[in-house]
Amino acid sequence: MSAINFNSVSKAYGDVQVVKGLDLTIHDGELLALLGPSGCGKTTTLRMLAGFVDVTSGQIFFGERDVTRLPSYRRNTGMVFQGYALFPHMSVAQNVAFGLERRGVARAEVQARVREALAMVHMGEFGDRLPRQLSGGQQQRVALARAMVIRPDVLLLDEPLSALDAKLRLDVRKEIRKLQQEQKVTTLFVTHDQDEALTMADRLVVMNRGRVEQIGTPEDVYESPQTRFVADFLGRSNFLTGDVTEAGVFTARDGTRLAFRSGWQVPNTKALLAFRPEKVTISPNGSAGEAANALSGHIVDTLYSGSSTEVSVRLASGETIVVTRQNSEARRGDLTPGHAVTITWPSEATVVVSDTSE
Amino acid sequence: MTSFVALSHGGRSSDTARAAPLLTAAVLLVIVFLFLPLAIMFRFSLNKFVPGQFMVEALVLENYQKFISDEFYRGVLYTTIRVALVSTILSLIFGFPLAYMIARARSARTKNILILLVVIPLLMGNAVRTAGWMVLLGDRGVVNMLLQMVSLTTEPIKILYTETAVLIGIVAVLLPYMIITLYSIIEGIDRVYEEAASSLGARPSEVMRLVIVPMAMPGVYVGSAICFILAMNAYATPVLIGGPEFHMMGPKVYEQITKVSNWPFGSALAFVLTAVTAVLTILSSITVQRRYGRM
Amino acid sequence: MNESSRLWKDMLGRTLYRAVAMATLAFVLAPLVVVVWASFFSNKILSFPPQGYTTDWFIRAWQQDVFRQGFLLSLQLGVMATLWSLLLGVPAALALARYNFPGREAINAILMAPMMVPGIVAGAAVYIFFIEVEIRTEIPLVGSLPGLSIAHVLIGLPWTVRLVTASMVGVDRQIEEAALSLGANPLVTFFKVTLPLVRPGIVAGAMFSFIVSFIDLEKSLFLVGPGRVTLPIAIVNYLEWNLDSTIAAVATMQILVIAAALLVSDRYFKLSRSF
Repeated sequence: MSAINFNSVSKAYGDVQVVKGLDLTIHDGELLALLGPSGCGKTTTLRMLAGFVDVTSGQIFFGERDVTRLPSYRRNTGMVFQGYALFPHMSVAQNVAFGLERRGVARAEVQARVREALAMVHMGEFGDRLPRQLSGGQQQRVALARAMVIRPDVLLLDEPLSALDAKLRLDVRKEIRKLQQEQKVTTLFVTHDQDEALTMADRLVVMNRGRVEQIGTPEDVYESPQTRFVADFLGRSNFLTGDVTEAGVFTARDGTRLAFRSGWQVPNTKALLAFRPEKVTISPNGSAGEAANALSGHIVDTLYSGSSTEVSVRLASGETIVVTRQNSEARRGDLTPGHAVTITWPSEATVVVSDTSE
Repeated sequence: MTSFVALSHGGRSSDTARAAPLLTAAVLLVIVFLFLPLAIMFRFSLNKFVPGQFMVEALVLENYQKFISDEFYRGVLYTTIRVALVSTILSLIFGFPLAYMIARARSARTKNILILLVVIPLLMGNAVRTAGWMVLLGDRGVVNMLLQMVSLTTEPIKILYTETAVLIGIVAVLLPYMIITLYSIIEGIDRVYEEAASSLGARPSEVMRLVIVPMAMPGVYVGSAICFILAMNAYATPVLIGGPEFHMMGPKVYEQITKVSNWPFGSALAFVLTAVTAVLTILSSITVQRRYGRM
Repeated sequence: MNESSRLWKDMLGRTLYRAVAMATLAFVLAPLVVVVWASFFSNKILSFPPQGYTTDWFIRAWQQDVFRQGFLLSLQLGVMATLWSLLLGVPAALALARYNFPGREAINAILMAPMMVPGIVAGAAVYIFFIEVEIRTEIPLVGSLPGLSIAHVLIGLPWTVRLVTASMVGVDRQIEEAALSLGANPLVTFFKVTLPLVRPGIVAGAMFSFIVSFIDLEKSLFLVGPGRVTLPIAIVNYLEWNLDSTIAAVATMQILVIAAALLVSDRYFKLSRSF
């Protein structure tokens, strides 16, 4: 096992820059999730790592080994494809043995390792089946066994759950995570599903337009987004425009001073304040209490969605704040549109982000 | 899409009434001018041929027995089978790389141009292509000129009127059929299988041998069957490129029926040719299917 | 084996594969290129390399009755085969694609049979049949224009049926039903709606009928007669005894006719997309 390094890697198709100067390290044994909207360059990044796509500039290292110019079959990567890509003319066992045979592993050892790998994914009984005789979930597990049995330097997962139905997806998520941790295999996981990325990854990378927006642990990235894009893409966010007037103090358009935890600390600049809808509390007008940040406004709209209700509050400044309220709180009566309310939220849940869209 | 739903549930009488007048003329044409003649020819193959009397009504297997016992005609059949087999295998070996290249061409434009270049010779006809091969392979032809230019030989080598020349000509006729059949199958094989194999450590030659070729097996046997049938029935190539000393079944059928006017024997030859072709094609496809499974 | 020599070997393999593919393409095209090239040689006796170039061989070829008449006969048969195949084949294709009736598959197989039965076998059978009919009715068929025409319609018919059926299956019947519901009568619907939609299939069918008729060897071989020889058979007969630039010029003429057919139909359907 080894760490994987991208050293200012770029990829261009003609004039179109798909990945721009990517610097990225996947630590030994960690699961790194690559998250972003379609066209953000995450799939290209994975395919450059696999060796399917040439790098335009920069280098890729597996540990000390520079693999930038190596073809995919000389790289020792294990990949689970979106549609699994199990060879339809080979049995399950033959599929799993394929990589070992290419490495010249002795026949007895191949058999032993195939058996072990299939047992690992609970497919021990299915060695003689053909892929088309398996369900989607079973095929997925065979694909995983096939990729892991060769003890790859890096395991590549390309949206491996997207072809499964929603219920199965949750189980497989846990299973993949468990196996990955047991085997301590360095893993790059590409997904557009933020739930998957948040629950499975040791660290996650949010990409946008060919660049890394932010890297960190799921909690880190979720709680302290550094850019408007990250705050908006990962979960949802309310934004207020205003100025940072002194360290840790943001002045909203209507002059209200709001405290924040992290982010841009340069005073007297235009800034964007971000906080999550679920961190906000609604109370009758004037009863703000001790909370650090408070603003008043009136309710414009409510949207009931089972476990929670989403309330839109229009501020005096004209900006709209979305509040998510758990329906366990038995006070639904206050939410009539037009009702004047005060919204409060803690400063720890408040950050200043840079606006990359400008 | 009512018409397609209806297809799976047997016929509808109103449809039959509407379809019948549209089909009658075409179907009658084929029955009267193809099936009836074939039936008559089969019947004639059981007649007797008496020199001077042309054909005598009978119901005998004489002509088939004559074919089996006659060493010359057995030899003709063996030559025909050998040439057909070898040319089919050669077209497969040489057609596969080009079919693969066309299927995996980067741009649609390149792909279309390559397809046209492969298909156009087919549409130009055998007579023209055979003329081309004679110009290429003759004593004063292009190939001999090139050989003499690089001093591999001083005297022209006899290429035309040999079995090798016939093989060259027939392979050239077969290749477009083989390439188009293989191309359409390979095009349907998702590139992701190649990537999967490659990421598991398979070198390009192994990807080809272990993934592409086995997955293209349906195309291999459909293409081979088409080519084998065409080669068995070849006419122009063996006559012109093989010369008068080279014998295959197709020209013999023509010779017996029009030149010798031995209809019973000529008819028998035609049916032996058809039967052997059918049996070999079916047998080989069964063997291949048993080996590689139905896909 | 070390890494670089392994990679070098793979690169060699890839080069070899490309070389074989390109060589195969050259091999398939070589006879056509050479025959066109040779038709312009000024050498008295055809040999390589050429001493100069001339267009005289085309004039000489045209002056030979067998080639001029063969050319015109093949053209005539090709056009006839095309028209009759369309007349018989388009309604048949319509019935096969639109209606569901017992024995539909069998009828389809019957209509495809002329393409499946080897030319030499079918040619022999038709020849014997024609002579038998001649003996009984005293209508000359072998070596006559009607006899040849029938055989050539048979050659073109399966192509028309197949290509037109394929294009009709792609047309949603609801479009026709929409036209009918808007008050168009069935005849108007057919000419205003159905026909334009299947036009690519009809053009493709017409083009293939023309070409397979024009280049046919085996079936025509039995049916040609004195003074009535098709171009490909004239070429083959000539090649049995001679090989010179005249025949190269004749072959080039055949290539030009077919190229023209391809160009004319190219506007309506793309040949390379029909495979």
